[in-house]
Amino acid sequence: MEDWMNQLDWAWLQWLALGIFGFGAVGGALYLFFTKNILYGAYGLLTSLISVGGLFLMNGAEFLAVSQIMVYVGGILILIMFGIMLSAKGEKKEDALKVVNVNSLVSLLFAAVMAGGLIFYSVKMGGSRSLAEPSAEQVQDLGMSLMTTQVLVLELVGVLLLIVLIGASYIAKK
Amino acid sequence: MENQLPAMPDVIAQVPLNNYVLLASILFIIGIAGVLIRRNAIIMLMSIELMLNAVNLLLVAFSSYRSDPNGQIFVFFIMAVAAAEVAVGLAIIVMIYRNIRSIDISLLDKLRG
Amino acid sequence: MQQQLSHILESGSKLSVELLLFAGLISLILLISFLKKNEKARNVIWLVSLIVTVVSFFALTQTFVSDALLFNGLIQNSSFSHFGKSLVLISTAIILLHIKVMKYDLEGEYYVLILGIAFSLSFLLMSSHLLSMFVAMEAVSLSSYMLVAFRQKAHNLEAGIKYLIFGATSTALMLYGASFLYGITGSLSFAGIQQGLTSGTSDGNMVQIALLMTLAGPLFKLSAAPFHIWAPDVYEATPTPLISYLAIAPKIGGLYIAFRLLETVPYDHTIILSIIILLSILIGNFSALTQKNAKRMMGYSGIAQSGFLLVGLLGLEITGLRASGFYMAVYIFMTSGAFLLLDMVEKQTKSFQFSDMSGLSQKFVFFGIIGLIFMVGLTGLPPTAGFTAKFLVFTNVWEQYSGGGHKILLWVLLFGLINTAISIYYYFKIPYFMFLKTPPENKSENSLNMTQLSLLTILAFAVLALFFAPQWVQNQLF
Repeated sequence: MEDWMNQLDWAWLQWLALGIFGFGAVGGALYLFFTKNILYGAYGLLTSLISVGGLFLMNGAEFLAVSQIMVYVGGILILIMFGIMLSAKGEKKEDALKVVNVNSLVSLLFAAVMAGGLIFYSVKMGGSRSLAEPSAEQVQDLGMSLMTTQVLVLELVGVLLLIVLIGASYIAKK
Repeated sequence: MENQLPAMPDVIAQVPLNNYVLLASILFIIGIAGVLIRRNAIIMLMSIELMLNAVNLLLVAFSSYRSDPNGQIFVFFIMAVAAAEVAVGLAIIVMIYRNIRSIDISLLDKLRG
Repeated sequence: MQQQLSHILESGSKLSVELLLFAGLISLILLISFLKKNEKARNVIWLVSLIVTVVSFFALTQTFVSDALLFNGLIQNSSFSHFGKSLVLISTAIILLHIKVMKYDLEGEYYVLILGIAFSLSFLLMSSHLLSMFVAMEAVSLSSYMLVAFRQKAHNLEAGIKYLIFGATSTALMLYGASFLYGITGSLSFAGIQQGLTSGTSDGNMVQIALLMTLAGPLFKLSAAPFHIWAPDVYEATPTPLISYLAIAPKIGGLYIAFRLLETVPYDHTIILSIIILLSILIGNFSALTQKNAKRMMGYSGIAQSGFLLVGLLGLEITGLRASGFYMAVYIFMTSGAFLLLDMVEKQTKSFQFSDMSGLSQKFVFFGIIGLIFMVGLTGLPPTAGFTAKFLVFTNVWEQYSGGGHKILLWVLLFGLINTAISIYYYFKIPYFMFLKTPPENKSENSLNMTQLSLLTILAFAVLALFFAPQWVQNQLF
């Protein structure tokens, strides 16, 4: 039994996980892109976000993976759902959920050119370098760094969120 | 349990970095195309979230391949700001809907000239 | 650990201006929550924000400038950022006065956003790290989106959501480029990126593409091409004093960050920057020609002006930078003056259409002459500081070219001069209609408000005075 565990090809598993999460991320994104219904689009985004969280795990960013699920899936996506529900009520319900596409040709051309460039460079980039031993106290390191080296940015984000809180609640009142 | 799983780093190193870059590029392009083509404000916001996620993936991959925690910290701040951005966007969208009963950007053509 | 904490405390003590602005922000929020919602309370809030701005300005003049890195390299208080911060505070004060003299009765939340923009801009102007740059820039952007949508009318909200979607997309582009810069060099600080690029063997084309994408953020703030599309809609929909602020303040930050990013990547940027400049000037000018609404015209002309602002960055020489800084200082007075003029015209005629301005100056000759000064300044003709500013930036281009620069510099020079001539046509539309057209008969006889006229005169005086005494600003420049 133990021998079997040791002989298992872990690299193969790694590729499988990359395949599954990558497929989920791209598939969800494509579904969001092609769907005619906003609500289904939000589910597509959900799939994509969770898969990206899985990819974070594969890169040894456990804490970020958890925050990805909590902030994006638990926060932003719920907010978007509320937005859809609030703007899809009333008599013209179908109109609000319907999506029209415009100037697709120019935009697709632009996107294709960008895609070509980016994919060309990312293939060219290569780079499978060896990895240093990840620190066992990764979460602690992140926390220390946030509270010392990057403390100013943390405070700035606090001010940003305060301003946004005041502004957004003013816009949405009445 | 006596048998040790192989140490994580060896495993990670076997997936080359450019796979992540490729994946992030594809997600980013889908996001850009979504913003350019779709004309529903909420779908556009969701496409922007997709682009930011591609950036996050890229940063986490670079950060783990360089074993430098700064990239991960950047991702934290991107998440916080993205949440603020969506909050503002949805506040505006809900108010637009209350005003004109539609969130289709192409219908919003009071400002053309 | 002990050392870290003492470094943080020491860095914090050098942020007196920002701390003052933050204290002002908090006191505004407290006042909004505890005062009654009446006109008197709103006046108090206005007064507090003006006092905070003025006190911060004087605190800024007292602070000692050092190039030392603060907060572990997150920010750097250079003399250029010192100059930029003083411009931000001056424009904030002008806009607050504009709001008062034009009798806008704005609620307290507006002032929170205005001070919030000033606060975040002063961090943006100090940032020397991608993290602080990103967060400060987003704080400016988000406050701007909200300020545009704040009036809750359908077209304000529409302009707001367009602005937000454009802004968020360019932010995402910027982040994508920035993460490539991080991936290539392994550092997020400007100094670290520069070091990584000069020492390492990196793919030049890839770095250029990453830089170009990163520039999306500052170019959006500058409303320079190809990130200009939001400008006319937002200019038209937003109340005049607020758009006057959004037309000048974020440009200061955008110009600074564009400079820092170009400086960070040690390559020759002449061609990229020239193309951006040419596009901005051409798109801005030719679209402005056909406009019938004065505020939309200002939107397009703002795109062209951003092109001229960027001209000083060509070559990244210190003289060019000083020229751009001077241009920015003059631009503040000219633009805020032009918007105040349009606002006063609107009070008389109830519209921003050129055709409705007919014959206003035949009634108010002095008002017309003051208006003419701003338009001459925006065009770039003597005897206004607009001429000095354009002269300085074009001298920089000429020196770059004659010093063996790329051929495209000559095109920038040529197109810049031609477009200055073209811009006469649309800028002079306002004085033309005001002086030479006959007024319609059934106009009600409103008299001009003296406080409004005196603020306008002070701004016009600044535009004229900087032509005769440019050293007032130039001595402040790094």
